[in-house]
Amino acid sequence: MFSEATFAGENFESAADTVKEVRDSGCQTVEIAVTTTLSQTAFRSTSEVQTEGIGSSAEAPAYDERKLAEFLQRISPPVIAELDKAAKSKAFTNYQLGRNESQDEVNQLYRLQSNHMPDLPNIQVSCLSWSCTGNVVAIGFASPGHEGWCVHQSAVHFYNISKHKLDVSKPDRVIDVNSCVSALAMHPYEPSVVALGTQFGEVQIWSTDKDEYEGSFQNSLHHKNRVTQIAWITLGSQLHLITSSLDGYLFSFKVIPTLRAVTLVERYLPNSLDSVFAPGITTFAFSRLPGIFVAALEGGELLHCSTYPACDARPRSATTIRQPVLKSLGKELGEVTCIEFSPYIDHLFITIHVEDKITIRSLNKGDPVREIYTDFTMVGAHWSPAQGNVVIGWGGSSHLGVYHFKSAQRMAHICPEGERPSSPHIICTAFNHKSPCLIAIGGENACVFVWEIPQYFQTPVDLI
Amino acid sequence: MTSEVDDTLKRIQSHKGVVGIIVINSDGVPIKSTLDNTTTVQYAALMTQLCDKSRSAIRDLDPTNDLTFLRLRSKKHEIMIAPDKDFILIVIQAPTE
Repeated sequence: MFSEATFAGENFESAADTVKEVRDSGCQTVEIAVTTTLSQTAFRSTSEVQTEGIGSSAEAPAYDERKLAEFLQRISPPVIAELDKAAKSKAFTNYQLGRNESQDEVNQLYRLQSNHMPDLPNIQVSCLSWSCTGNVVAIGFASPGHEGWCVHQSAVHFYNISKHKLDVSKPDRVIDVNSCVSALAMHPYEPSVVALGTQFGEVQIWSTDKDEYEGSFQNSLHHKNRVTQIAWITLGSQLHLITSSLDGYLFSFKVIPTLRAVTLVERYLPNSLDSVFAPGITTFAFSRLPGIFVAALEGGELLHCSTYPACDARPRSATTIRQPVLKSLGKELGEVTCIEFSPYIDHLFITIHVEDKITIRSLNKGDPVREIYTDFTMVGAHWSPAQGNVVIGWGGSSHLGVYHFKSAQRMAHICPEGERPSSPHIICTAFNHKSPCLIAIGGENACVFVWEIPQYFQTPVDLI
Repeated sequence: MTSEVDDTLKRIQSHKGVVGIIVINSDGVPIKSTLDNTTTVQYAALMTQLCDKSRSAIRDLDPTNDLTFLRLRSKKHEIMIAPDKDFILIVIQAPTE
């Protein structure tokens, strides 16, 4: 199957290029644009997915634009009027918050004592009264213990405490009076009018803006003894000046300051005995109940009286004298020096007779409602103007005592801190009803102090 | 209409002592205010309550009566509230000394 065989070789001729074509040429290849750029090779993308639908709370609430425009058109004139009114208003200029935290200290603001005091033996401040504006304090002077006819030349001093530069030794006004001044009351709405009663029974009306004006009392009747109290009282619709005296009579005057007219309207003889030698009236106070008052007689008897059903006390007398007594309210064991009705409860009143206690009585009861025993002798007391159950008393001490009516406990002593006692005794006081935190204190040596006291006191009930 | 509303608010705002105005809708939500957000929300919530309470007091006293205007005097401000059926306008004024 396999055998050797030889074959002839095969060849071929080379075919070399004999002609070479040479050609010069410059050849530029296609232009290549080369630019250099900075590039960030890494590419990242971040996306968050909100899985819940977006709530509508962020959107502005829908409202009717037309209605709003109408509302604003309608409401803007009265609102602008109110804004103007409020901007101009002075209603709150001097308004102090009742419970002002800052006012819990007692400060002595002024010590009023003139360089030219009336020439009276043992001169003392007998009565004090604030004007209706609360700016002026009137001070009456008297000599204690008259044995006979009063021949002293006394005076009433007026100090305006709201003045920029108050000179405490020079009163703004002085009225010379021909007898010791025993009672004083400034008019409740005429700032310059003052009524005063004297030791020998005269009642005078003065207007401090005129020198010569001395009422028209020349022809009218006077009391026959010391005037013990004077008060401006509204009876019915008219303002009356009520005066009491140790002659046993209570007079009611009608005063018209603009006409300088003073007329005696009624004479009352509050005397349950109806004796000719009537005991004098030491003090009286009117309730807020119309025409109702309590009069205290010498000897300590308290009488519940009314101006309305008053019958004729002495029918055979030529002049009409009214008998206003409704009933007797009992008797204190001494001369009553102060009666004051509660500003909140019509029938409740305090009485003070010179002893170490304050008696609280009611028109409805003969016996005292409560007796508050004090640590010094009381001469007078006021109900707190701001708290119905607080009584502030003064007398034989240099401070005022603050007492709680229901618990009969002493709550505080009022005395300016850091000062030595201004006066060993307090003879009379007067609250400034325009600024109830101001009280004028009549001390010994004929000095008057104006204290700033707290309006509110912490009562035992608050402390529980 | 918007400019009319804004003009009225600007007129009130330019008044003496006015520190802010808020208009709230009947739901108590503030819709216009010149005060910051927190103050606005607080005023809106409290004044709506006060307005409702005042209105009920007036109506309880006399069912034929209704609240027309409310002024609040505080130590720092005077707040005037004009309530209406759909809106309440509150203007806060600082008292001039």
